[in-house]
Amino acid sequence: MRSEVLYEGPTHRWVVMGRDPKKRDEVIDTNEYAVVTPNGTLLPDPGGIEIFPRVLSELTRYCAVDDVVALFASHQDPDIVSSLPMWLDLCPNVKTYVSWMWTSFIAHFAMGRAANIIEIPDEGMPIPIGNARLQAVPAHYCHASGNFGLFDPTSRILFSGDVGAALLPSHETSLFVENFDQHVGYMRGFHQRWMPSTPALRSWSKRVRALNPSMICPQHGAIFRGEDVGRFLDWLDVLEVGRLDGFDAQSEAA
Amino acid sequence: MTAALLDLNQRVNRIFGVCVDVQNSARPLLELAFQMRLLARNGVVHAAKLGREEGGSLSVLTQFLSDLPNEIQPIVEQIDAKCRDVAEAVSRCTHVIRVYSLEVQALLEIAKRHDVAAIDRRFVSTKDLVALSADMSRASLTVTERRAVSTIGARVRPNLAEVVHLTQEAGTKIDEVRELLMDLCSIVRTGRYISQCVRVEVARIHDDADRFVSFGDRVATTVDVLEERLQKLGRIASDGQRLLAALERGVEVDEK
Repeated sequence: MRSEVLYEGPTHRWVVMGRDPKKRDEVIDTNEYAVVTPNGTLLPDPGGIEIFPRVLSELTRYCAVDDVVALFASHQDPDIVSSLPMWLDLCPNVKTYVSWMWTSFIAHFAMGRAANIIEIPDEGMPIPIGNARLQAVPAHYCHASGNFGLFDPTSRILFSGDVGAALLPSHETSLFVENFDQHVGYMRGFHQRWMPSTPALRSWSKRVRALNPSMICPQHGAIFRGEDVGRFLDWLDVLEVGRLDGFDAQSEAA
Repeated sequence: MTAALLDLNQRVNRIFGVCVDVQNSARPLLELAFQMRLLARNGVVHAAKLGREEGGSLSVLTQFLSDLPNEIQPIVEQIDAKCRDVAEAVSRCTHVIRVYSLEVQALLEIAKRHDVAAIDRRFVSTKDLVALSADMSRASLTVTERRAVSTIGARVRPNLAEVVHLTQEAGTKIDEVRELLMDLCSIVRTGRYISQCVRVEVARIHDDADRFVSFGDRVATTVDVLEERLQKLGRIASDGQRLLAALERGVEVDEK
């Protein structure tokens, strides 16, 4: 698994871990992130249980395991947070932030362990971690019906969950978008099918432009930085999602 | 998951399958016991019609048969409850094995980074964990890695102990189920014998013996199935005992 520091500041740093070469082919590739502060670490979308050993091992390059004090789940999917029982086993006091809609759903991942799950209201909420002040940013219906990103006003990094996600071919090993036009081909299908609402996406794009992020970090695919942030938002502004190409009521009846 | 841990998980899961088999074999006995009671009562009525001298032996036999369901039902219910307990222990055990094996894998990932070779270890006993810890303490780990090893190490040992405890719990319950099945077999064997006696009596004194014949056949088949399950359970219980012994000694589990 590769890892890289995305931001290093006086109060905290952002780390990305991904492109796990040991991942089984049938397991979707994911990016894991860590916000490391001297007073605790937060993991946005800590990942699925399958990749837990590699994530944990890679994380130890940047912080101690018992420094992990919070998990943030953008939504409830297994690739997002099915590693919850492992984190609870090693860090029993860890807090898990997730949309109020999914608190009782992700509790199914806890495997009998007491999970300190904190509901995020629909409008979002501040999430303090050490001296960093992160903000849960609503992204409802941009993938799941209760969906959040995580914005850091200091580094201006936006962790966007599945917004901006791409299904990369194995030869694309860079953690960052290198050729935006080519990258569109990797993310179009994902957005059209995995995102149900074009108005919700437009609203998200408007909200995110106001935040003026320096990087948009999705859970799958590559990170947008520099001018690619604007290109990505422009692309989203004209994208129609919630499409079922080749499958409609007529073909269903046939 | 390492091959040894995968093997451990599969063996524990096999116990789950046997419990389902036992439950499926034992539950139809309740229906059979109900039929046994109806037929026995029928026999009592026939015996009464035949009069004291001719129907005397049939009356005693059918009365005896009529009492057997009262013994069968509570045993089947106990088997059902104990199988559920085993299934729960097995299910919890599978969870803990999963957690344990992922934590061991995380330790191995860190070990590999520092060229600590652990490929020949099976990690189904504390012996291998102790050896890995010793090897890693000699490696040039960073402060955060050392803390991680210590944190993970503090969890893997109790998790392994829980695996052993839950496997032992399942093993004890399986032994109890085996004893109950033996009691049940003994009762059903008696039922088979009595039903054969009833059949003989009915054939001697009454033309309409078909219902008793078919009943006798069903009892015989059920006894056969139960005996087969009992043997299978015996094999699994022995396997479980070997697995436990191997876990405690930390040696290779014999496949045979």
